[in-house]
Amino acid sequence: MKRVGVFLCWCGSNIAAHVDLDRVQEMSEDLGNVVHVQQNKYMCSEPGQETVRKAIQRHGLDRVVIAACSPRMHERTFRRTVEGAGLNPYLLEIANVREHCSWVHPDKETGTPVAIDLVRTAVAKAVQDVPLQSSYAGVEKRALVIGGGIAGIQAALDIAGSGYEVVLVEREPTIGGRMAQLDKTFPTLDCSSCILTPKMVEVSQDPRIRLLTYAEVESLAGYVGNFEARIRLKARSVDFVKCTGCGDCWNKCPYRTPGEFDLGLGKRKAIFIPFPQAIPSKPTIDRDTCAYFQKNGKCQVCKKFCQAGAIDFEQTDEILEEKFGAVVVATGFDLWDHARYGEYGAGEHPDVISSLELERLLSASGPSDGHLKRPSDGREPKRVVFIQCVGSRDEAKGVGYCSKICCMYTAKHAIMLKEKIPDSQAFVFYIDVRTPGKNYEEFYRRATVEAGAQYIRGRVSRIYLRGKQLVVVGEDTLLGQKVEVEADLVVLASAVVSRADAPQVAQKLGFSYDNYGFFTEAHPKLAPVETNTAGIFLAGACQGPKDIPETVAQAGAAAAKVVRLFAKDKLETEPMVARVDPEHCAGCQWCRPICPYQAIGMETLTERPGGRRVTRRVARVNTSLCHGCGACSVACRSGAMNLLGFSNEQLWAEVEALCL
Amino acid sequence: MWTEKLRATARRLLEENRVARVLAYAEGMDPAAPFPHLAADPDQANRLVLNAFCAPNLAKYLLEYTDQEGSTAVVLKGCDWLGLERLIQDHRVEREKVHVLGLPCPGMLDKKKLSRVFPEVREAALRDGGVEMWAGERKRTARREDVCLGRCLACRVPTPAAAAEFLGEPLAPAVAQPDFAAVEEIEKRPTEERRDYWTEQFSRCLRCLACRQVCPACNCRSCSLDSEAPRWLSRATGPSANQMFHFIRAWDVAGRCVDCQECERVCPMDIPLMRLNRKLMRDVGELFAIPDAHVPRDAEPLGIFRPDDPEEFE
Repeated sequence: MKRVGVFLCWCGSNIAAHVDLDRVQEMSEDLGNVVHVQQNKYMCSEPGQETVRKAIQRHGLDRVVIAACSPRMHERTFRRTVEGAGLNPYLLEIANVREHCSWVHPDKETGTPVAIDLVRTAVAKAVQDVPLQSSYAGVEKRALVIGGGIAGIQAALDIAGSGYEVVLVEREPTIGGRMAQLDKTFPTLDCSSCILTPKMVEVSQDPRIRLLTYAEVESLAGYVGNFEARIRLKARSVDFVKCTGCGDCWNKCPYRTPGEFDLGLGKRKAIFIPFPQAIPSKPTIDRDTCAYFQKNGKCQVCKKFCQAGAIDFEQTDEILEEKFGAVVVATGFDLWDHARYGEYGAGEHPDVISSLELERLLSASGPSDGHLKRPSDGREPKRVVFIQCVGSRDEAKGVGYCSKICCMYTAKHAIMLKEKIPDSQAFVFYIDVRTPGKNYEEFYRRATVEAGAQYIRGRVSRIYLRGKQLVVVGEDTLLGQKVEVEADLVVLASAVVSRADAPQVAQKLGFSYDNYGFFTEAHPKLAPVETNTAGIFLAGACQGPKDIPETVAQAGAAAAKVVRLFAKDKLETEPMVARVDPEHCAGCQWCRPICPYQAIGMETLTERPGGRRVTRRVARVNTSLCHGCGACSVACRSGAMNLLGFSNEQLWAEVEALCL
Repeated sequence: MWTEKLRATARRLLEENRVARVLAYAEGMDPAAPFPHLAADPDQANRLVLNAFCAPNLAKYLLEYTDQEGSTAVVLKGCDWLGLERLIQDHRVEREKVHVLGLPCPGMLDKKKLSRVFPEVREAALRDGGVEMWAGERKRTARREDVCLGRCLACRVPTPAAAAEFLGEPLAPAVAQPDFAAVEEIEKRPTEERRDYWTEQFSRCLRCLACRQVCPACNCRSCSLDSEAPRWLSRATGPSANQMFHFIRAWDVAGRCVDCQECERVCPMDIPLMRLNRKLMRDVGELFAIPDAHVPRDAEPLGIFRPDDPEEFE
């Protein structure tokens, strides 16, 4: 017979007001195996915990049931409590009589019977509890940071600054990301590259950071502390050891193509660096543009002019296999394609551009050297219409959420327009202006008061050409009348969206993403940088729309989580994992594809029935990879798969206690 | 005809050591009820028979030889062959160790129907027009629908799609599309009526477990229904336990049933098990857009985790 102690927490009045705990106590005292029942106003308080420890010793308890709040709140607390009294921490069961009972029942009349059921169920399970032991795994103290924008850069710098090695993988030929494409930043108007490039240089100079640009993570296996990544280094056709970055090759290269960094507004060469401050400052040959690759080995101008002999047309992709203890994912965002709005010209008018295109047109490193000229005829625009929420807050055609940064950057654009072209006029069509952030509201006032931007509350219904004149038609909902604005240039604040391949990235790395393709944090409030896979953290806009200060803060937080992991030499593994009973396992492998963590492998078992040696295949759980979700245990028809801590026997005991 | 071809093939395979054993049928006390038989040397080949009474699916007997040396030749009709595919997909049988003797099958006779029409029958042959049957000198003819198994009259897979060798020329399916009329008929009834219907059906169940034993999808090493700890299900028959038994059985083969209908053939109480099985089969086919839900496949829809699975319960 087991000796179960039942402890009933009032949680102040949270539980006591809706559950008659004296009745629960009476019922509990009548249950088989229960030898002690006690109440406390706050069981989680130190005196409350002390009563549990004392009762364990005084009454020789070998199982403990605590009826209190959700195990998510205090299960760890109480596990330590019972451990302090010499019990195995997994001989504890929590009956959640707060979230599952008192908070959802209005009075004692309805609440008490439910609490009684919950306690009875927990006691039945506790009787079936067995001691569980943790195991330990080593930690590879190197971090993998995926994405070389400001989020990845900051995370890499912070981890390296704490003394750990970092490999920073960026798929473009340079780090810098979206921030490098911006001209100025709100709400201070400092130049984006002036504050970004020092950090880029710092990355390139830190001996603990290994920078892999033009590279992609192909796969990630393993588990927290022990990940194994396969990284593809794409062929750049340039030998970086020999290359001095002198620039002769890209100056002489005769082939031009629309540049990705300038969003196609300007041209780059077939051998190129994306922008002058690119890191690394050595070029890459774009094989889709290069005549050598497209026209049977002709041209080779870059090779002729390269004094270092660094051009290597024969270079092939390389695969690196590296071990890491933790991963920071900082893969950034894209802009919603406004061509999906037919009423805004379906992307056909050259002078209807996205806000990011405007950044390039304003930037001194951009295609017009910082002189704002409109794309169609190169004229300086005088009347510029900005349209907010293009794709954002539009569940029908775009995305349901607010992209968060557009109100502020549009205010910034309005101010910069006035600075560049003093006789210009900005018109901003908006739904709401949202300015929560330090100095944000003040910045918006500056756009309206100092820069004189005219804010019109309402959506634009149509943009069309009247002759050669762009006309924006909308409604001023404050005045309740139709407005028409003749515009030289229209700038669309297109929604911030996840990268097109974000779902594939999440699947490859093994964590979840939401309906919009943004990576999902483990908890929206209490674990905002963790993913649901231990050891993988998130930074920046891959998790949701964010401005630069938030991104940098989140990257620092992700780095802190990584460093916290690396501060340990060994990681304790969760003992509540799946276990196979090989005697009953038929080796059907139904459990394997169902496992979200690829934690189930096969092993060969040797048996000697009647002196004959035979082998058969059975499933085996990698306890380091297993998260204890239980999917396999449900899928196993023979019941050979059991989840420790939630075993078939325990669940069955609960069902019997509840139903029979 | 089939018998001679089978005997010659079996003798050749065993003599040439191509296979270690041949799994087929042999004549029993009742010539109209052949039983599964294993020939392990060429001399035993002459005991084998193959005729219109050979309805039992032999695929599952392969489980007996998985740990034996050498490969096994086995006679499989189209429906049986799907059972073999089930066992292979469930990693219970290795494809390399099976030498399929494919029998293009025009249909098998139903012992239950025969017991009403011509219980003394000892020989039979399926002709184009109908079925000719003999009991010594006495001869009778019958329409197929009166003596053949229901499953054969609506057969979609008369010939195995792949075999090491065939024992006859391939045959065309009796029907092209699956017929779910029986499922739809019961779906249309009100809930109460359906509950009464199944309660009545299950109440007859003896829990003899013949349905489980014969089912190629029920191929576990140990069955959770036999488990002592936890004892999921009472051993005693009774309305509640019988119902649970049938639910568990149906769910364990959901998305995995190959539509061979052996369970119905062997049920001594004529419980319409296929109505349940085929309801799940049709639902899996429709919900996951699988045209042939009864054909085993690499990734079964109910057996995989995909992060982009629709979550309709949100």
